[in-house]
Amino acid sequence: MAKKYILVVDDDPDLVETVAMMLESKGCEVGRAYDGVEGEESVKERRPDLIVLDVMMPRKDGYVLCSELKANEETRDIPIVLLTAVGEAVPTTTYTHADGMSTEADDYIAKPIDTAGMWEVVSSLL
Amino acid sequence: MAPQTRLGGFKLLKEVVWISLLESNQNKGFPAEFCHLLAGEKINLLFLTCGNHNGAWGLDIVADPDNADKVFKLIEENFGKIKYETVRGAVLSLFPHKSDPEITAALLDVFGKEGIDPNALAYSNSAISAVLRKEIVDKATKSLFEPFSFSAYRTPADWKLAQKGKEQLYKEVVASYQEKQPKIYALEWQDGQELLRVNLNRRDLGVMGNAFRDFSGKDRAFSFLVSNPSSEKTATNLLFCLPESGRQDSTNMIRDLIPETLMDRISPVSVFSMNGPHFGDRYGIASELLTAFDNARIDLLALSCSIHSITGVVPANQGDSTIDAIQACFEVPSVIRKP
Repeated sequence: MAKKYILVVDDDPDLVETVAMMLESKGCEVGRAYDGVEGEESVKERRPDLIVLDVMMPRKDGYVLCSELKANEETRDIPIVLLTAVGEAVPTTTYTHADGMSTEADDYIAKPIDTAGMWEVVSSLL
Repeated sequence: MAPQTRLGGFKLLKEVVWISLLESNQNKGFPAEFCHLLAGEKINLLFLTCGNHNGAWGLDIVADPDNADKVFKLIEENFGKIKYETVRGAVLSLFPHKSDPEITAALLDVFGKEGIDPNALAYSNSAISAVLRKEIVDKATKSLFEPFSFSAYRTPADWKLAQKGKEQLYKEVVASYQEKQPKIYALEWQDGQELLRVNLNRRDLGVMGNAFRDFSGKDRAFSFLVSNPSSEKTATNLLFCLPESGRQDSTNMIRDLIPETLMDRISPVSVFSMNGPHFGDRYGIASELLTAFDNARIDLLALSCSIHSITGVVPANQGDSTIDAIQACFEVPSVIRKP
């Protein structure tokens, strides 16, 4: 069976490597991008089986990219898991988990992530 | 012209103060004591490297300029006789290095060619970070576009444009992490490594690029790299880990290139790496770890803290006690053993 290709998009390069290592240890192939614009370009270059997408990023944030991909007929079927560092602890921000789901993300994972729990979410969508 | 290597990008932390300390009184607990004092003053370290050489410690730290005077005062009040030097500058972090010595080689090559001598180097699981004096920051940034291309930032001007906005939100997110026991995403562990320590003139860092290229040709990936202060002001200690060769291959390869250099090799060692949410923005993280190591009598050989990661080297026979010490002070969801 072909390896599943997962794109990880986050502006924290250390976190990208940690998530990539966990996914590779489960037999996945991993692409890496470090902001929303690069993530968008990566999707055009090679269609991923799933995207792990951070919310707060320079240039184009995860909500915007998620909305764009879900509005596009060619990419709307790609499962997207949002990584969000902000929730109830930061009430002044415009970013909340609920907003994440309203952008039609398939699931979300709150930071700090639990790598084992993350695989449960990812594998359920593959 | 050599083909460019495509990388993810680079980050530049501007307007920071670098401080380099050399403790030669055989005080084994010096890094833990020093970091504990800084944490007590809520001073965050944006960059930290430690290296031990025959009982003497070299430390490079980077702090916010607003905290610099407090750091100097702490040093003078608590470790009065310690030699230290300081400059204003920036931390440039290039990612991802993919553990590939060829990428580090290309970076050191171009720095050598352009006459850029970094004050310190550090390594996270994704990035190589270099501390640069203020006067050479622009030159160093521009020089990256010769050996590397960046899919997101095609020119230095593109990169500058990408840095604006979201600062306030970022601060709020960082402030939301105040766990009693800090959580890390995962602890990565690698056995079967050797630690090499090479003392060389800073201007010879570029020549080391050739040695690293040879390691790359032999399929030997880096698991750790820092530079550390030397007792001679123009020199630096370069510490790095490679898979254990079982012979003297690595040292012979370096001697062929830089015959006069002093070096030693410690083997076997284990390398750990851990990263957590905004570790680079929060004070006290390194202090927790170093204190735990001190209490558990771990003989830490070298440490690197940059971006949001802590990477360290310990003797291979202290692996279990090191993992226990880390788990005692951090919430560790999983230990990933690298092949």
